[in-house]
Amino acid sequence: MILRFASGATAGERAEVSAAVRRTGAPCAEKDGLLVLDEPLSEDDAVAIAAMPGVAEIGPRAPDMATMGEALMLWVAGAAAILGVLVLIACNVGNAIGQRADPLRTPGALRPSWPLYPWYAAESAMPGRVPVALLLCVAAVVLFSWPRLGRGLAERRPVLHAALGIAVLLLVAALGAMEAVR
Amino acid sequence: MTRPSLTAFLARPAERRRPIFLDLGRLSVFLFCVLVATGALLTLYYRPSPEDAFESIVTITNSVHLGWLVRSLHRVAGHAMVVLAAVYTMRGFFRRLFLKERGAAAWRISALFAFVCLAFLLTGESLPWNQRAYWQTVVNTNLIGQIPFVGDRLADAVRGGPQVSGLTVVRLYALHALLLPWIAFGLLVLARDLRKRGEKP
Repeated sequence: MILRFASGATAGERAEVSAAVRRTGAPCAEKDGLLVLDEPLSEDDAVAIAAMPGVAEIGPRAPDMATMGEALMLWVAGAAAILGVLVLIACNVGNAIGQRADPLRTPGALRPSWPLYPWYAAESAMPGRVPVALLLCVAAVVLFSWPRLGRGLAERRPVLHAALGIAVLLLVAALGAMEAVR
Repeated sequence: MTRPSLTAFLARPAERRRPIFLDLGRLSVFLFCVLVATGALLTLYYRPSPEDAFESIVTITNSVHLGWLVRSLHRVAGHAMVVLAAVYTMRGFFRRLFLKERGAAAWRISALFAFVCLAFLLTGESLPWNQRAYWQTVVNTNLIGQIPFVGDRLADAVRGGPQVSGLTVVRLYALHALLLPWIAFGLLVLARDLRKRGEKP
């Protein structure tokens, strides 16, 4: 339930109204000229409190207003869902340990970690001819300063901006896939 | 005056927010917490030396109570974090969030965070010190060594010399468990400050 204070309500009036609500046993908290009640008042209490000075109206809570309790419940439910999915995946990826590292025995396929697949694929597709590492450094700098470099494009030609992003993504994905299926 | 009580606290008005798995920012903070918790548990048994690292992973997986779950959870959450950082950056790009007020600073923080996540993955995947981890480290550090000007020095600093050796696992562990967590934590705090500044004009 929600109690709205009159716009001219004094601090004393507000405090008195809050105290009256609390005397009925309903927990409440004040925010932005509203008093939020967790439990509905009985009809007699509501009529009595509505007649107090400084009260504009008492009514049901707005549908978009949440309480800490609801927020907490939503957080716990969301966290449990994520943890559940993580545990489910963790139980199914297996826990292979492999063999002890042996610097003298080179495995058949040498590979970097997966985020570096595109880099490695580009490197091995054109060894030495294109300075891939230099290009990547330039790309990292461009990425970092995109708010400045890309502002004009993003403001004036949003479609071209999105197309550029998709093209870069496709290039990176294709290079990564090349290494993944090798 | 009212007594502070749990019921009163729970009845206090709150912002209605999206569930945590739809809010990429809060989701990455949550994943970071999962990674810190599982990582802290793993440090209890992991021994960062070339002789012991592999053995300690065997112990964690086969002997320690629920050790296999904590290890798998840390691994899965780590990979998920890198994917999440990439998705976060892509969302900023395609929704053009960097054009907004404070968006440029947010973009820079998220780009740095993505690189930190990458560094976490590269150092973390080497720590089991099995065949796969060892040779992956060799390839990774060779790639990093090709970065112009700073690459060889960076790779040598991480490897502890021109070759992957026993020193490497200690350095990777120091980076992974000591240095990078604090950098990531600092970036998350910066991002939070930025968001708070937007709420209170």
